[in-house]
Amino acid sequence: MTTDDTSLSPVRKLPTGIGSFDVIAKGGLPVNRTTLLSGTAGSGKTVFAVQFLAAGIQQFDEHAVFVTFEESASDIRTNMRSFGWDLAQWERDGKLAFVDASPDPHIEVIESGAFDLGALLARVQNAVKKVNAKRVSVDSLGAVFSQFSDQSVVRRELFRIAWALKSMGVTALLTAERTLDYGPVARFGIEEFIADNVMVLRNVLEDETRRRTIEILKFRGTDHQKGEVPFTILPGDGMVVIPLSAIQLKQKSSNVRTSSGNEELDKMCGGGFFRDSVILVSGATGTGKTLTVTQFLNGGAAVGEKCLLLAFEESREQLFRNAIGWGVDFEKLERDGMLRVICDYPEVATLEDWLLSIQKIVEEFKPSRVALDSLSALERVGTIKAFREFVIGFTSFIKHKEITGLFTSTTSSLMGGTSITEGHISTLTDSIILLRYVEMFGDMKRGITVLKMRGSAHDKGIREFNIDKDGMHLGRPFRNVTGILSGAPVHVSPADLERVWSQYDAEVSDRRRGSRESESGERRRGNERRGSAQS
Amino acid sequence: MLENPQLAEDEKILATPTLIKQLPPPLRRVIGDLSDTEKVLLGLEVRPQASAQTPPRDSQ
Repeated sequence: MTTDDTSLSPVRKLPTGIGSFDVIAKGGLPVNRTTLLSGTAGSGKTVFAVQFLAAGIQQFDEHAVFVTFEESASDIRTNMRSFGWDLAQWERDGKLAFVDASPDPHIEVIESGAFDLGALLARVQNAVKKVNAKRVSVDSLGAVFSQFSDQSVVRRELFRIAWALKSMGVTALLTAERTLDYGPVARFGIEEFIADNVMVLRNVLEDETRRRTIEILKFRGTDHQKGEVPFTILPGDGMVVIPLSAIQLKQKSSNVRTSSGNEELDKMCGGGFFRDSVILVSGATGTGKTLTVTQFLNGGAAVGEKCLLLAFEESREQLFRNAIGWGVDFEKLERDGMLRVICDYPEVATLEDWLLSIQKIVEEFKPSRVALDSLSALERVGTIKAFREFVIGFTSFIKHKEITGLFTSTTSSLMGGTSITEGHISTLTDSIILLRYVEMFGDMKRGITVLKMRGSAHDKGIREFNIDKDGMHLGRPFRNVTGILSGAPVHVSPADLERVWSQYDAEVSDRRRGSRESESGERRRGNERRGSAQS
Repeated sequence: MLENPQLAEDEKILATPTLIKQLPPPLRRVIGDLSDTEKVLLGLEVRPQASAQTPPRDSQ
């Protein structure tokens, strides 16, 4: 379903303007209704509540009222400055009004007999009328309960206020606390009386990292995306939702080939990488992953394509020095504007933040090639789930932009095996290149093979390669070694090799008796058998 | 209150009815219809000296 069909449904939606939230809400919050936003302490309720109003004022010129029961109005004005929202200015401009119902510690309140919150309702109505508000945020309902001892009265009065908001023709967002990230929707059973629409914010601690998600639990009478969607809160932007499920598998696919920066590797790949493909280079430490990346970037710059390098393993100086060792001058490329190198520790941000900041850089720099060295370094920052979402988000983003992406991943064992990284992303990548150590007669040799090349023929052999001052040089295939990929290479003596081949030849000549095929055809088939016996 | 909501806004009043004691300090507010006379008197500190010495009733 798309946002288009809201015209068919009786419930209209109000675009909130909050970063990508409208995607998962399929248009926005239901117009003229109250939505309950529930979350634990520190889950971002107040930010969402303020941003809902701020985005309305900034993007749609819709005026707003903020009702606060918790923080004082002046605290909120101060706290929200870091997001670039000048609430005081909007108040002066008559675009925003506060209803400050936060408790005053200097005033002692004594309850004696029956009361209602008619004064509060009158204040809210007054504020809405005063600025002609379209949006109202109430933060938070739980705090009202703590101000009064008679909870049944508070419940009844909040219900009355929620009803009144509806009749005022405003779209309202009410926040409420919950004690557990996975438990009852809200304390005090608030959802029972303001239950048109319920959303939940979570801030879950998992493997020592925090993961923020938003879930739309229900939108009465209208559609929305289901499940938890990660989001992040950025200074300057506020809340930004990362709607992974909204990404559709409909990227354009191109047949244009682009060079890997190494002629021989291009040949192995059947003529180079596809332009909008994602290539994974996997290998143990020191097998030449960073070299592959360097060549890829150099090859791009050589044909006038802008390149972006995201390096999470080595410092800038190290990278530049290594590149010079292979005959590539990164410094000059950067000066010429062909290359941008982003070097940082992956730990400085969460994966959600990384995804957003990388997207920002790509939008701004507009590279044709992006290399990421390495995914394994990023993997340690977040949970497996967050990492997966990062890779999905990132690959679909660069494919959408028709950018060639080259990722590296480090295998844990020297000789072979796969990394956890590969398990998560191998299906997302179009091509996989393996770099492996091969132990031969007391020497460590390096082998390279193209494991997968979506949509193209490629060399299936495992080729030996050397690294010198000019970069990578591919040599002959390892013909007399088997078991390289399993990490236990076994040498086959030339005599044994001859025997194996001759058995095939015998089979071939047996069959040849009954056929009239030409000899060259048979030989070709025999060769193919040998090839498959190798791998 | 309903006729002049701005007054409620300025005084930060939520509940109706609200009785505000401004002088002498401290500032006190009594909300409700004042049916619990004991609490009102206690809150406003206008109880006679004698009854103030009796132990206060459980407030809840």
